Amino acid sequence: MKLSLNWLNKYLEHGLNANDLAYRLTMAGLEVESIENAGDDVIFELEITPNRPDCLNVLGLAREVSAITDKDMIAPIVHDYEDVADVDIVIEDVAGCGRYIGTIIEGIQVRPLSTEYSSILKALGLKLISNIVDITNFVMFEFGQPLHAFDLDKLEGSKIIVRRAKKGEKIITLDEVERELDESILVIADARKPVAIAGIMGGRDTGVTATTKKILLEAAFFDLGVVRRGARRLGLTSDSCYRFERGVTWKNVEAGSNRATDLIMQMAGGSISARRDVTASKPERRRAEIIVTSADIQALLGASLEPVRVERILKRLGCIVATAANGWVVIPPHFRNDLRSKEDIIEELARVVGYDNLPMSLPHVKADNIVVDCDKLFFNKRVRDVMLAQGFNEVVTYSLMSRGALDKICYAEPVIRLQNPMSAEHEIMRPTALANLLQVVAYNMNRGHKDLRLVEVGKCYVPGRESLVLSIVLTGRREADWRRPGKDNVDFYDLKGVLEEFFTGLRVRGCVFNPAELAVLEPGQGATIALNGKTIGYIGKVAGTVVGSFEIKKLNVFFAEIDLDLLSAGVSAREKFMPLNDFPAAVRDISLAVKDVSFDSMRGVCQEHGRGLLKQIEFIELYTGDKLEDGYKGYVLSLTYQAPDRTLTDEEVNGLHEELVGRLVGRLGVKRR
Amino acid sequence: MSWDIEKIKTDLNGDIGGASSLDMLEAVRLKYLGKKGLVQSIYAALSSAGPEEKKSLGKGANDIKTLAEALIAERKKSLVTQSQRRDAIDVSIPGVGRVVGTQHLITQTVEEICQVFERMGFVLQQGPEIETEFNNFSALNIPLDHPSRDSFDTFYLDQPDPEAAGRYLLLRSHTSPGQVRVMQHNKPPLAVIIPGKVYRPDALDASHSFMFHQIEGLLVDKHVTFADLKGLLTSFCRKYFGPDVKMRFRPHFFPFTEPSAEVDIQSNIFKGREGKWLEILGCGMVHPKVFASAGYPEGEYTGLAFGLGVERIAMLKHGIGDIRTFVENDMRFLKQF
Repeated sequence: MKLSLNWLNKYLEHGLNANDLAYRLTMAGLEVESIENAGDDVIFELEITPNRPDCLNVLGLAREVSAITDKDMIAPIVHDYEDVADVDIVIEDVAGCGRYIGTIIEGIQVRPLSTEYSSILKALGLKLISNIVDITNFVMFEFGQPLHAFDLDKLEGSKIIVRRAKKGEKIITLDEVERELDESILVIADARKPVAIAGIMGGRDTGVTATTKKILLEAAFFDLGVVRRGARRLGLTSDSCYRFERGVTWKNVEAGSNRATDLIMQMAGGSISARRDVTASKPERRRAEIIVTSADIQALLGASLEPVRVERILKRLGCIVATAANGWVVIPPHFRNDLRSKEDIIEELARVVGYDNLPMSLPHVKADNIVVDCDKLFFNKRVRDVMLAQGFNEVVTYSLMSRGALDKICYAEPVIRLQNPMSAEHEIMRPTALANLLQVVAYNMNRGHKDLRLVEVGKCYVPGRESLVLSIVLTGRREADWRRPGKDNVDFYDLKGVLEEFFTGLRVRGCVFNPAELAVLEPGQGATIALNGKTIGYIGKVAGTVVGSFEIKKLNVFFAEIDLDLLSAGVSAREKFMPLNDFPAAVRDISLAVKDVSFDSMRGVCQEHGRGLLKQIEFIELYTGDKLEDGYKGYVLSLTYQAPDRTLTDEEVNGLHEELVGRLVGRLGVKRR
Repeated sequence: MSWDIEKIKTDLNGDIGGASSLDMLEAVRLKYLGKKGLVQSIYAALSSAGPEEKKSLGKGANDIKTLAEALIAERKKSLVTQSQRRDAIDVSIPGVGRVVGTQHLITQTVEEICQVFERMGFVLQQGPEIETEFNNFSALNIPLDHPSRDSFDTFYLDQPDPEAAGRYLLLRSHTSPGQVRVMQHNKPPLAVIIPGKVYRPDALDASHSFMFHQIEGLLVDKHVTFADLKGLLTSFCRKYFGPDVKMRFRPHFFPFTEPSAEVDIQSNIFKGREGKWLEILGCGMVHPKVFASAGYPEGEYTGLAFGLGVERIAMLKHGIGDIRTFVENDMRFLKQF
């Protein structure tokens, strides 16, 4: 909303310079966003919040300034006009139009507006058209009531019908655009066709031109919802629409109509030949009384206000105020639809006094009734801590992605789509962060950063479920060590190690890696991760074709994803203390030739037969040289034996060790090397 | 055989000075202190000496022994140090260690702000990003078809709301539905802080994004006042932006608070923007209708609520000019913070 200070100053002497006035308005909730000089005038650009349609005009703002500065204002004097002869007005859509005042003025002379008025409109940046049209704009900015003038001779049957448009009806609006209408749109029609889109924009062919002699001046009360939906549907807005959407008042229709009639006859001549005020709905009832006490003010603001001050502020804002026991009975004015409760009244007092002039105190913060799940809080904190400790850089990416990116990562499950996406780039709620992370890899690779350790902790979404997901990417070389030069690239086991450390750090035991073929991973280089029999994520080398589709070249990308909600559900409660075992441990290594047997299955066999004395099985070396039979790999394992209650003898250790080796050979078909 | 004690002492000094290695020093030691060394020879000669001579010779031998031991020890120490120095490492070469990762600036900012409030007694809570129209709008006194919704333009999903026939789920356009959930499940007194992602169909540019982060605060009790709201947020700003921060509470409009305000601050930490009022949060006293939809008895409680934009605060605090920097995830950016 633009405000001309010259115009404002016609209604009151506030005694402030432009900067001070702007500051006071801002601090009363009418934020002045910019101050500009326009000739001898100063123009404020104000941000008016949607609850204050009464401030979308100069008189409304003058009222505010009057309250803020405690100075009287003088509103322009407006004549009352009575209905004199019939105007053919039919309101068919009663819900959409509560009141329509049509005034026919004949014998007018269309010419440019006098400079006294036009200079103000010009300073506001409005295009000057003709005295008639400019006056309707002037009154809209002055009183807040949008108006429209038709050339009566161009209205078929000299008739006004307020109705819904018929499907397929068309109108060329004042901006020279042909618009197709439908039943959702309220129009003003003559006997044959729509001549204006109600509250939004008039029609080109029935507007006032240089040759117009007779006009029909429209002042109406259109429903804010109908106008709003119509404007959305047409993708069209206007100063008039802006005001109707926020709400004009039933009462103000008449004031606006009369003020414009005054000015038209004063500046364009002519006289009223007919006028009719058609009311389809009842006027808004007088606003309900609101009782506010000094105690109410004290309770909400933590401050007391001087009773005289309270009364003066409310009266200046247009309220009817009567004193009552320990307080006041307040009736808000018709144009303040937002004042409904005592809290609303107290806010008016607070903002006019100025929030910064009110006292401060510190609250007693009590949150005893909130149940806090500390385990969950700690878990969430540890997730990031453990990943940070492992040298990962946390990223944040969008929750929305494109269909194309989903296709690239071979995702074919159902997804959640936006009904109103802004672009195809961001139309799907991501079911996984993989595509986003690959984009981050490509972005950084293009800037020369290939050795990436990335982690994201964020939501992923599938129909019916929103879950917190840990996503990890590992690419390029291992961490540099100048003592061991060489380009050592990361592999599957680097990432697996990260996850194992992660699980340990979060006190999660029993995660199992099961070999799996996933479309997005290289065959034979992926695994799903299960906890208590439930799949909670996967890990592997991202397929070369997938990586390539993100324009990532010559770079191996390893990726893992863990559903943290599922993981946290599997966290064993508090760890129990394990007594520290001081009896000596004995270590025996074993070298095996292995074909199609997994380390996990070997570990399983050993644990099953370890008699509680096998403390640990370590993997020492993987050998794939040509000294082995075709298809065999060499595994070196190290087995640690320890008893909780005594020192094991050599015979005992050797016996058990030989037995385990025998079982490996016998049950799994591995060979001793 | 006669012994010139003084000459021996002079020779000893010369020999020690000439010993440039531990081996040579050992030879010197043997020469003077060894079993067949000079000192032993003098002791051996004592038996055949006269009483006067015996006395002076004995003393001379002892002197030489003491002197030789001291000089050799001293020389040895200096030779050892010298050889160690030759093997010295270059302590200025960079160390080799595990590189510590970095927390995204958004996460850091969220954690910092939440911690300030948590230390004042607020409890951290989380809510879902996929919400119902009721929680995002109706329960917060935002009518469905009203301009007050314009500032909360919303992404709708293709997922029907299981609790409201014909309505669809949406992406929360603010963290305030988190308040609604807390109030639905808890009775006052309560004090919560709710961080999270929010979504609005804003075109991407340097200061707008369709996804950003907010932190919501809510305190409900008997006798909470607007003065408490001012005091609490002033305390927060002084803690977080420094004791010299200047603040103003500017009236504003939010459907779910009454009175409502925005807080502007000025601080010297915002380089290049000194002396400018910068909006950092919205706040107000909880609207009675919000309490009503939570089912709280009328008039029993008052409350304060506030919401901060995380990106905005991080941008101001660190002088970041473009909100898209946060989601580009350039390694140089990630490693800087």
